[in-house]
Amino acid sequence: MKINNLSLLQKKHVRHIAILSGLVVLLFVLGIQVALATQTPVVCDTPFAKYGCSRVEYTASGGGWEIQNRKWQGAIDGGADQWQAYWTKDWEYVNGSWVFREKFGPSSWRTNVTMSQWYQWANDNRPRITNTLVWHKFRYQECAPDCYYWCSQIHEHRLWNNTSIELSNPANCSP
Amino acid sequence: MSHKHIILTLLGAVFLAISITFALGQMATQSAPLHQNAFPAFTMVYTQGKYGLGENGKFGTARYEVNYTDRYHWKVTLLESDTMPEANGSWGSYDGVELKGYYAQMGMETANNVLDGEDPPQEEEIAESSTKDKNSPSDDQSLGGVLQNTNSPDYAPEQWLHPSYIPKLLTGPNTTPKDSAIEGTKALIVTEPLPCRPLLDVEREAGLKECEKERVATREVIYRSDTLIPVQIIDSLDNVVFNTITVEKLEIK
Repeated sequence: MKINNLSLLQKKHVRHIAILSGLVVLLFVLGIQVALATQTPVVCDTPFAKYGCSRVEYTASGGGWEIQNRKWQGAIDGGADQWQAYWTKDWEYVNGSWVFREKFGPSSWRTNVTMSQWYQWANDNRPRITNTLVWHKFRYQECAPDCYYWCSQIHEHRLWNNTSIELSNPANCSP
Repeated sequence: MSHKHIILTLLGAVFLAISITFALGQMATQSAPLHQNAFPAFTMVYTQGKYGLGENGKFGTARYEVNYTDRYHWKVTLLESDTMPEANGSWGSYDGVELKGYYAQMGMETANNVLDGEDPPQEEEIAESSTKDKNSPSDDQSLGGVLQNTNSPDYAPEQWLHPSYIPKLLTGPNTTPKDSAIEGTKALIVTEPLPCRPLLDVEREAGLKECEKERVATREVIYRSDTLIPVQIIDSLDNVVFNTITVEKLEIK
């Protein structure tokens, strides 16, 4: 009887240990997935990288890619008077064509001369989209002395092959 | 001399002075450059060759057409891109009321009425702790925002394609005027030191070496003497050419 009770107890412990181990493994796997979020290559205004840079942080999700954070940093370099992240646009590839999903921005206007810290628009509480492309554009105000606006080329971030590019589309402040 | 003579002499002197002033004024107006705060209407075709127009910093070229009436009426069209042919035909325009864009690769046209006022800023998060010196000033947020008035805001089709671009460069401390071999043009060079930072893909592609102390950024601009419209721009970093803009055709209307 005693031997049977010990066996039962051992079985219970083994079961508990197995459950705990499984939970630990699950948490570990999830933790790794978050920690190993991928970032697209940084794109800046070529060649001086003194006005603005952007990148996108994302993870694999259900056969596609899920955006985590849309990141940017900018500066006026002393040439412009103020800068902002003009807009960021999410696109999703659905049934052979690109579908516009969401637009972010504009950000606050800023006046720092040298490159700022990184800012982001996060993916919290947003519908998941996969197969994504992210566009980013900066806007600047320059007074010489009359004030005018100019914009950067579009920074495109391709999540399916982790590449980034400055688009050839005209570099003006089209919405 | 009688009073009459004195008065006539004085009137004559005044008349002479006015005439001389008027004549000088006319001469000044006739010889004043057309460019003062304005480009004339023009059409332009230019080509850009730039590292970064290809994936992950690779080199690419693109050709554009500009139709410019004044600073509130213009249109820029992408004629040809060797790295993104699906974008050919894309354009951006402004008519003093609407900024418009057509993104050929997406088959999508956008428009924004600039007289409706600015969109309020969307709150952003700080993405990560800055790698800057802790004692360096924090990012300064503008308090004034955007000037709001009923006049059309001034939007440039390109950073370098605005009537104030050359005049502002010419007054800058880092600018050196130089002669140009192209008839009817002048040239300048802007030199600026930039801090070191990790190499970007675009810099690796162009063959730039790791930075030791600082980089030297150079922009050479050749521009029309009469209109101050740039006709050639060469951007270099540590003497490595990254970006060239060459105007193939400029037709003043």
